[in-house]
Amino acid sequence: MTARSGIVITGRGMVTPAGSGVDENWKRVSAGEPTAVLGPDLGVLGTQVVCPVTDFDASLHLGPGARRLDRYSQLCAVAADEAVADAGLRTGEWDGARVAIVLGVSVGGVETLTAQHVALLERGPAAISPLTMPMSLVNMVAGQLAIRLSATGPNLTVSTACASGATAIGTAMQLLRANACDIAIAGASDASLVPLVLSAFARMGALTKRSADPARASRPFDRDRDGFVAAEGAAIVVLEREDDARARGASVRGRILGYGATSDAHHVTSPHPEGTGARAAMTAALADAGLSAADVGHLNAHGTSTRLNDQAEAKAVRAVLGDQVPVASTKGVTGHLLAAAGAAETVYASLSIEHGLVPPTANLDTVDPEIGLNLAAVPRRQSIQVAMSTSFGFGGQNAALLIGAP
Amino acid sequence: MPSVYETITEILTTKFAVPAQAIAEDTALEDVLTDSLDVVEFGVVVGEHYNVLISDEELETVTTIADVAALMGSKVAA
Repeated sequence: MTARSGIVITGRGMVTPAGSGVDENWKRVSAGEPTAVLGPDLGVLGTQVVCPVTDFDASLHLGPGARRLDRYSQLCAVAADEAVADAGLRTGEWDGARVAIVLGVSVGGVETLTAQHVALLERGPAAISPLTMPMSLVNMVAGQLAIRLSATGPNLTVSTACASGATAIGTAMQLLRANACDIAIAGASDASLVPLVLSAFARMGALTKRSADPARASRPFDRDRDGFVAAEGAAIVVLEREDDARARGASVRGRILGYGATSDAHHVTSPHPEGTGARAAMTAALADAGLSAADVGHLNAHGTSTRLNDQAEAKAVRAVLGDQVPVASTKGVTGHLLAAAGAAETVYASLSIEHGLVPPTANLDTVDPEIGLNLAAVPRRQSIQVAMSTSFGFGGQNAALLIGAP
Repeated sequence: MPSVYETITEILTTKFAVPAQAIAEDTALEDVLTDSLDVVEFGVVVGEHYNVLISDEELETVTTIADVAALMGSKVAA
């Protein structure tokens, strides 16, 4: 193995349906315990299953300022606080000009936006909150976090739909390689479990209709999968160049070894049936890291539980990594975290390496015979040096990350 | 039934986290709220409570909490 990257993960933080904090998340993900429950009833659309973040009191974590943040920014701020603390960093003690923030976002503060639209319709324009734009614009999560962390370096939001989290981490890695910053706080957040967004996904035929059995609804790669379960959450990593991290005595949690990004240029929502864009992203990540397919010991797949994604992804994986690499989709537990999926799954991949365990793919009762991958419904003990995480977004945007052992 | 002033005070303490000891009739809104956005937001929240709308022009006429109480008193009575 001749990995060239010197970019290390020194901090991790997350708030997802699987729990608040990295430890709680790993406990539930490694045990394969689904989090899906009944959510908003979409009536005739026939779907009602979501994976929400429960027991989350934003003001408890963030104080009175929480009311000026949309839920997607609240989740992100809490995850970022955990990641920064895990990295042993203190905002008052760093050179903020060398701290970058790169966050993946899809629809932004849609909870705020939809609530304000109701106010507009019911009470008129003078009832609209002046905080509507600061709370809902897609860049605000990064702007708000910069204020919170006194981070005055590059401040970006990237949006590649469900690949956004992976794109953010890949972009942050590139900023560090280019010496545009010394510390990058990267990840993603999504909180869009509102009837408007859920109905829109349902009208596309993307969501499961397994409302009678919510816990069994997210079943990636299973023969009887019928759509994804929308989830909310945030995941953040702190990235640094290895020399800097070692010099300050930081604990290294893992490495970002390589990143590949491509576009299908095929269809707005359907993946290319042969998975060509996905394949190219995976191949590009390997090339970026200077690794070969044989070096990859585990794949945390995008595996959304839709018929089209899982089938196209499986083709791409077989073509690039073969059919023996142990694959898991943690979405069986978390549901589809949308913009945050790639960030959360990067953290899960680093935890898989750390614990020497391939997590189970929950609800995998019968592997779809067309998938042809090395999947399991139970956790598997295995030493892993390099893991891949794949993420694919509507719009045909694909991203693959390679995560390495410390 | 609480007075308009008491209601406004309660909104400031519970929704805007303003310490009760910082609130007096002659307290200027901009001294206890985060910024000008919050002054407008305060008007929205108070208006929602009384089911009336406060225009930008009306909001520009108030400075202190007593001013807000007087404005709301006149609008609720109207």
